[in-house]
Amino acid sequence: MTRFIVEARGIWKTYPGGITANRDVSVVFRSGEVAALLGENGAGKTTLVSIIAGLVKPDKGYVVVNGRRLPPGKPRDALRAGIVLVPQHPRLVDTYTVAENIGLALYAAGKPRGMKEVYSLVEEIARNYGLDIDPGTEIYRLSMGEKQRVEIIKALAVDAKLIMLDEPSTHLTPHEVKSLIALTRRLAEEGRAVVYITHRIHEALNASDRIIVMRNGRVVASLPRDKASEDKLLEYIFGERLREVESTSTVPIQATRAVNGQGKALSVEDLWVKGLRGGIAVRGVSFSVGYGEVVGIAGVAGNGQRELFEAIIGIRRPLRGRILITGIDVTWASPRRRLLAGLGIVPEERIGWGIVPRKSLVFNAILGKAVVDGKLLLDWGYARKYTEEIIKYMQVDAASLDADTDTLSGGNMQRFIIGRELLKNPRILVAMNPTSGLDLVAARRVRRELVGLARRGAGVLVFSEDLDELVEISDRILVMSRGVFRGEYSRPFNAATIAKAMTS
Amino acid sequence: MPSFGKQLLGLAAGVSMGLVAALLLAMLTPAGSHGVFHAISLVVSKPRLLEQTVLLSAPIAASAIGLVPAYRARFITIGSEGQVLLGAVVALGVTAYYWKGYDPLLVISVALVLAAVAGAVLGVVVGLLRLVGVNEVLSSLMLNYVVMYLVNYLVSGPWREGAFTLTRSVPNEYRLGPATILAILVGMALVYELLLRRTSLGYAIEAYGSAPRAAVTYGVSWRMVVLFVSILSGMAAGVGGAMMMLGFQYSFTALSAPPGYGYMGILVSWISLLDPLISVGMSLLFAGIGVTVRLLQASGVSFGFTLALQAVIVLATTTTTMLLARKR
Repeated sequence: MTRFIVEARGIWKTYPGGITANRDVSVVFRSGEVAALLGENGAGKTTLVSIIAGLVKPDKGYVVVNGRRLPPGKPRDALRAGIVLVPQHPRLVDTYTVAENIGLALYAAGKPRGMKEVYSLVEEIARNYGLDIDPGTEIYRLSMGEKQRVEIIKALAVDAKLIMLDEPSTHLTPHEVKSLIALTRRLAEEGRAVVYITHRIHEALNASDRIIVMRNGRVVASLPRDKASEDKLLEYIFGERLREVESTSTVPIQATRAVNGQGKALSVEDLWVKGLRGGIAVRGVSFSVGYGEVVGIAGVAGNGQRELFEAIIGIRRPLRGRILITGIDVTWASPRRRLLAGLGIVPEERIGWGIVPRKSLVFNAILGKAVVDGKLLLDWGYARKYTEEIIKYMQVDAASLDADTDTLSGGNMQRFIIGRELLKNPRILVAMNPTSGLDLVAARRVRRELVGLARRGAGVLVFSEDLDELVEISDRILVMSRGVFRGEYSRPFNAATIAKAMTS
Repeated sequence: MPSFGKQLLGLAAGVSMGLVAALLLAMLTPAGSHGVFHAISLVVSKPRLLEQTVLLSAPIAASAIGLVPAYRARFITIGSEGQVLLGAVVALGVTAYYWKGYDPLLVISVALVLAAVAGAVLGVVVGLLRLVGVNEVLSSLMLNYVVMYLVNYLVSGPWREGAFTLTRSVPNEYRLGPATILAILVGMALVYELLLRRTSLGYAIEAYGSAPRAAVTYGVSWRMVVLFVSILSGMAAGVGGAMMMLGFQYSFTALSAPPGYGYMGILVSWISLLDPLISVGMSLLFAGIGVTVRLLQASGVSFGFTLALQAVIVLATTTTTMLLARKR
């Protein structure tokens, strides 16, 4: 493969909401190198790579590929120049199969192929790179981790010269992250340029040859891997905010506490649930969450956690078994009755599940209240006050109460959702990957709030693919694998033992 | 999403562009520029023609208002055509056949209420079918034909008067004037506007239409949403049908095709940014075009030309609003 150099020069981008995401950014990516793009949520990483991939048009500046200027805001030209972005949240045609999605990408890249060829191409790539996937499966049947795999296969299928992975570890387990990092290494050795976007310092250190740090829309550092250290990077990432980070991290989260013995916030008895992909995903699970207790459910994605979560919140009917919220049997009850019983919900996906996109913060603040309260008339005045409370409580950085909620950055949106659920004073909060995609400060804040809620006497159930997180906040950890619990662990935890159970 | 004000601006720009294009198109007809401008000046100045415009707008506006909640919930019913017809049938039945002779205020009220109920029943059939998984586009389209043939059956059978396939007419004392009709339309629009903005039902409709999974997770019952919007759309279209019958139609002859007011309501609803009050204004514009073309018929312009002019406006407004909605 010939040398391949992509340069972004003097990029400026201000979004309609008035937020400037990129301020005079210039970067260079070269073949044979893994560059980590490191920074907090909202530092401008995603905007930069979206501009390079032609998905977003810069206000100023341009992108140069091997000395040739790319037309701005033209994804197809970027694709044909060999630039592929693997987005944080996969963008695939849900109703198409894996192979059909790859076929579509090949077509867009100007390399159309027959479906038979596409199938064998997908199989070949899957085999070569250890990206196990069935080309005939429809996308909507896949987990987030698997969808991401499809995005990577897509990049390889069109023979991308520059592959930019946006927060690729968001939906992955520690083990999967390791193999992903090995994969990026191999891609670089094949002569591709790889950009690994992350807000996690240790990943940047493990994955890359060079680390580019962004803060507040600017590139503040670009240094070779061997010149970087954790302390140095922290300094670059947070700048003056470093002191705030340090002060939050010196207060250890104390998860151990007396568990209130009376009754259970949540009980699940012999629950069986059908899978997203057919078959049975949850096979006779029983557990309970006491008041004042944080229970963590660990496991590799796709082992029945999602189905169990959906059955508990009431959007997936179980085959049999019982679910009790604060002692009330809600097995067959509507989501509304569960919310009334005191359930708080933090779903895995924010846009479209945690919040309603293209609706204001005020609208979203009363999601779960407006309909559940049973009053015919809405009180928008109260809703505004409630929104302000959420914003103040969780320090949400929002332009205005009337801004579309999906214009918030990922961290702010999650803070908003969690604030909304906390202020409802739930008796039991069920959260799925609550810190996925959040930076250090935001994630710590969320964890502290979850533990704080339990301390105030509610039950908290956290599904997470991040074992370190569960070890930090849980009183008990249940490990889920192939639809059943493979183990139950109490403090003090032995992470290695739990990790082993996850892959059993 | 651009702000509502910006969308409104886009809509105004689209309508103006559409009107200019429609005007140019009309000047190419045998009526010529002189005839067209003359007709327009008559429509906007002669009270009688203005009144006709209001009357003609009634079934269009009522259907459009009714469709606003449905489309906001992404429930794509196209059943207003049949619901308008059924409302008209009920109004004719009440005023000309079964309740004749009572006090006008009472009879007209009964006609309007029963037409609303009939429309709602037709609407809820579509909603119930949707709950068991039948696509609402198909079921509502088929029901439109069912009602059309019901009209034809009545015209040639039980309600036939004399030798022709023609029904009795609505007696003079039960006919509705333009002022009443305009008041009913504006009242309906306000009620629907309030319902959408101020009630938990409206909230549920908005939430479900924008993000079904979020809505259902946080307590919205999608079955309730579907049933309510199907009833709301049917009710409004039913009332529209009654206003059509009592306002300008007065009797039925055999139909070879659906008259199209309900279908026009679909277009109006979409181009009016799914807003009830704007729908009323846009219906008046559409009806005004119809009345103008009717005047031009004397110069050899076919009434079908109305559709071409309306189509130009629809295309212009959808283009501008879509362009506005595009953002990078």
